[in-house]
Amino acid sequence: MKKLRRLQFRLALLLAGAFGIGILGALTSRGEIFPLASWFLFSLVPQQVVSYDLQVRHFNGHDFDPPKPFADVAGLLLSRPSISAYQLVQRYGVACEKKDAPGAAEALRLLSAKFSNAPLKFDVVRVSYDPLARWRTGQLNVETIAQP
Amino acid sequence: MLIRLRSIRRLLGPAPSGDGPFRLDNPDTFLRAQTLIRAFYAFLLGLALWQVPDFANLVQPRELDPLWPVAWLEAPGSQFLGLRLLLGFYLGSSIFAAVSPSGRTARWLVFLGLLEFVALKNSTGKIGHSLHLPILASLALLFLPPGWERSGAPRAVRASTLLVFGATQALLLLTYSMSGLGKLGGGLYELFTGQFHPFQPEGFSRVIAERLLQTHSTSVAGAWLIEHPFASWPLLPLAIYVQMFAIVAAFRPALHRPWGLALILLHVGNSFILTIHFPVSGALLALFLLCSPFASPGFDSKIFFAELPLLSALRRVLRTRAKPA
Repeated sequence: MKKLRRLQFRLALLLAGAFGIGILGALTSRGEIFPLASWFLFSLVPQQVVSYDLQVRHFNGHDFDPPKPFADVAGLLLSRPSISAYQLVQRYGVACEKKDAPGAAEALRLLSAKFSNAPLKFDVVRVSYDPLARWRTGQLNVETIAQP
Repeated sequence: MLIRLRSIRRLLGPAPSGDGPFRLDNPDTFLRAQTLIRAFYAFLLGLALWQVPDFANLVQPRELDPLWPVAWLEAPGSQFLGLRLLLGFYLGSSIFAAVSPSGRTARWLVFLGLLEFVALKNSTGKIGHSLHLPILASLALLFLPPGWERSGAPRAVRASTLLVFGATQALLLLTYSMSGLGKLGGGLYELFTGQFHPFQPEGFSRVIAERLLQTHSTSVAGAWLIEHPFASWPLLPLAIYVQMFAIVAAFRPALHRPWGLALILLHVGNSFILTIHFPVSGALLALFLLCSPFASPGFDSKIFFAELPLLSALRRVLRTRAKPA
């Protein structure tokens, strides 16, 4: 009985730890202390969104005028557009806007691993939009913040 | 502390008119739990074999933003051998644990193998969560007592095994409750600050639109639901309810199967609407909740409604008020 109670206490500790560390992890730069996540997924309804995108001017011998969003350029991404590529672009955009050169270099290093090796020129842009309006009409405001 | 644990369990546990508490001494329940634990380790092997076609890609040296379990891969020149060792260890430990899950060593090894593998998969700049639940389940199952797999195990071993199984179920369900808590907290904040929120018709349409825009993708039902907000309206509050009270369901055996099914349907919905795929989590919910050894056979709607979170509490309050002083 004593052993069973000790086990019960340890298991309760495990659950409490998963909860506590998970919530604390949300405050870290990565957003979690792997593998104990906060699981705060889709916790907020998107309002007026401000995000970043890469507008490609030149890729693999082709010029784009007007520039095209990176996800729409055939052959640029090694696999189909993903949330992972989107989030790296956000990280890169934030670093560019804050003039955080090491942060931008790190994000670009990881992002480049998802891109084809062909020559590429792009602008980093800040886009702001209402998700439903953009979905229905394509309406968004674009502002160039960097030309690496 | 024990008194407190007991009162928490009583708070979360079955209603007086419900299915009753866990039976930790039932030999049939123990037998079912033993089979399911074995099935879990067979499932982990299946998961590893499923990943094998991707090994050729994973052994390629690449740019990493390593999570702490694979930080050692950052040492200069370690990637070529390190990636091969890691993948070999993951596959080898999965085979070992599927063959012999009785030993704690095998269970430790597969836990570490899985931890390393999932950390590697998530070391490219963004942490995905589709493979977290097997890690958590294998972590909880490290607490299994020696001799848990024996057919004539003594009562104490049977009770400990069932306790660990129940804790594994609770740990899996806790992750959903945390997700529900985040959505509820975020939603209430938005509601009281006059922003778009999840409880209004447009709420879920906005979530779907933004997700599909972010990933440049189309989904089976997403576009339709964006344009028909009154059809999508109930889905998000319903998802919040099911997620929030998942941990309560862990303590009420009569809810194991219905909650397992509801969460699996939630994942199916996420696939069809948001293009978020969690097949491994769905499979684990099927194993640990749909096949729960604690659940009674069949479905009794009277017991189900008596134990439904919030509704059961409301019934209790109404009954207490209806009683004459």
